[in-house]
Amino acid sequence: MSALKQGHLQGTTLYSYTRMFHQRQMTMEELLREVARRGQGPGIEVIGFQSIRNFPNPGDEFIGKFKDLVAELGLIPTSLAVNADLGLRRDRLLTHDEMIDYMAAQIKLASVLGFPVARVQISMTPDVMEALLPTAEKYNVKLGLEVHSHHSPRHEEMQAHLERYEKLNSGYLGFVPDFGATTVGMPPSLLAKYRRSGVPEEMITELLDLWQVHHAEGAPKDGRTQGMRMGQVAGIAAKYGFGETAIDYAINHCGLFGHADPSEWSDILHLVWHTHGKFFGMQDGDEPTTPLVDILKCYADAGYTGSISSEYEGFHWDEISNPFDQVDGHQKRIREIMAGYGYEVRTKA
Amino acid sequence: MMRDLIIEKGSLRLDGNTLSIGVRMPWYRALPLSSVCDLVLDIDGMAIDKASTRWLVNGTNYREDELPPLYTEWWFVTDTAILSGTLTDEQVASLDLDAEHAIHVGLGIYIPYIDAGAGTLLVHEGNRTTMKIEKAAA
Repeated sequence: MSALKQGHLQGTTLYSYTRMFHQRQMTMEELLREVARRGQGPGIEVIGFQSIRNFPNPGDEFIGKFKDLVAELGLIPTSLAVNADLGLRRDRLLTHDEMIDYMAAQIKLASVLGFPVARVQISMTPDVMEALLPTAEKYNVKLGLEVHSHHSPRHEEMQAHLERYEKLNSGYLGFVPDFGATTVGMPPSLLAKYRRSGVPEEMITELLDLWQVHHAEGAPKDGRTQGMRMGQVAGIAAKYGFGETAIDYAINHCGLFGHADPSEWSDILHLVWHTHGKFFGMQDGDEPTTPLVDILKCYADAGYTGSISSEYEGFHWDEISNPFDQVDGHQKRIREIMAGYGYEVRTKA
Repeated sequence: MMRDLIIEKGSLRLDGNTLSIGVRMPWYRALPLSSVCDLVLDIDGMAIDKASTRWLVNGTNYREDELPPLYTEWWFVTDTAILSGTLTDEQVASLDLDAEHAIHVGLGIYIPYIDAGAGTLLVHEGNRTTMKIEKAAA
């Protein structure tokens, strides 16, 4: 039997443990120590506006402590998730120049903290991305535009980015795939939560049927289609007396469980350095919502050697499962699949 | 998101005619104060006086209409905001201080990085529970 080739870098994101942090059960330092103790690194991703007070200007004391802690624990910073808050103000959107300044401050901090990638979001236009290229080069931080449900690699907005990045060929502008863009259903843990909340079976059946209709149509290629689909879901919720929380149903249904085919990832993997291994809950050793075998086939075929954060998002509705156990299970499954494709996932710094 | 965490346990207070409660963020990342709107606090179906609504965060007790311009002030993920407002004398008199009360808290949050097509995504969240009014410290 031939030796396994060196594969991607295993990692996690502190987003997976949002409930523990939000409920003040664990500090950022305690989360990082538990990640290291469980061997869920070495890659570590942080959302700046989640974990860091006064982001992106946390002060020298925080910066020093973070770098010392990461070094002590043998963790490798992979991606600082930064936010493109175009709608920061109530009176108007940020201008092009304001967005440049807003993002540059976050990219600079990514560099200071030792992150090689800054995850950015679709509220950035190709023009803003191109304008930030000198900043990315100056601080030696690659910018990865997250491809998150409801978007997908072949969405018209992503195509515009892809075209620009390929034209610039800078080595600094690329993508961060999120596996939630390519799902095969609604998560069993969400349906279980709906049932615990008193949602009638008839409504669950309608939601599942509608999801399949959308899936057959495919990922929405424009905002109008997405808005119409969210309205359909909210209408079902309202019909059954859940109008007050209809937006939750719509965001879950249309915002989290994307309809693109996993093969679309192959279109952009040449411009990918970091990935969100989004998942919603392990079941019997597998992830029923994100088809890991199909998704990771693209990664194996591309010879991907970047990093993948296991990103547990079932915490939105699942207040019971331990997110550290969830990440353990997800990473184990990924290692198994990649070994089957001839790759050994890198689990050591 | 995480609406089960919005109402902080043991945080309902009545000080004179001012009713207050601790509110936790129904989102995962810090939001600018300009994101917060449409504040609701009801007790036993009685709403606080809308004009008296206050939002205490980072040491300042803001009127609701002071929040929209505050896009450089942040509500951090682990911080509790205190939502308060006044009840009428009659409403206060109707409250049994030893009983459980039906509480409804609601708020809107603009998600600044998500374009909903017709503008920045506005999510209305809220929760209902029953709880007792905490006794004032002696």
